[in-house]
Amino acid sequence: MVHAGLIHLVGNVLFLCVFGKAANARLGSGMYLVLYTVAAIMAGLVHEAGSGEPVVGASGAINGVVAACLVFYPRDDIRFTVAGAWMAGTFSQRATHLILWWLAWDMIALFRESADGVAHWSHLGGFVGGFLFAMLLAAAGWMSTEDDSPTLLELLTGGGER
Amino acid sequence: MLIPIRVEVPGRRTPWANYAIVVATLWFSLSAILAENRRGEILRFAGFEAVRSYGTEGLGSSPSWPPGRRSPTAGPSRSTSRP
Repeated sequence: MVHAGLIHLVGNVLFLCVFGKAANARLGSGMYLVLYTVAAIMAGLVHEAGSGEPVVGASGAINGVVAACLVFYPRDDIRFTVAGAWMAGTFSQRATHLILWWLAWDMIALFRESADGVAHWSHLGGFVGGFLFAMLLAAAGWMSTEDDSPTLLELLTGGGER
Repeated sequence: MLIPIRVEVPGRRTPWANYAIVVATLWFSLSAILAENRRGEILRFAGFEAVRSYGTEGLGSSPSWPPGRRSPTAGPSRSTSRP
């Protein structure tokens, strides 16, 4: 949970507040904690195997929570702000598109061996761990039935039309 | 820079576990950052290499002489000097 600096910390807490809240609402608190722990362990293992260098932060586990949102809310929208030289503003985008773009950025940076100070192996491990665990929970039906958003599993198996 | 604002979901459960993780993350991280600053130590993460800098003391100078023994280059000891 320890972070190296304020910017690193603020970025991770922001993602946690947005995606964690949604995943927690779908799973309930107990299973959400299990999901977070599974993603953190996977992030650590994959980082150790892929890089092995010292790392601090929770971004691997948080990427697992983002992946769980991909499974639980593939058709829901995410509101986000882009602050860049080429594009700026607030937009709304379907969760599937935005999260897959997010994953693609990690993969590209990983395979280009980008020296940007981001633990991409940890991100990837956390994402895969969170995704697989969330798919398992979706298959087992371990979710809140309060909202009717179809899961990714339901969409893939053709059962998402409600 | 991409800044997420919210996921548009009709979540009705109170996300207690997420609140707990956010508070714990902030608590441990801010404690660590403040403690590092207090001790004058810096954590640098260039290429994920954690480097601790212990201020300027001892950096660039010769190693300190073992405790209890005097350096041969040091001046006369106060305890051995006679009036």
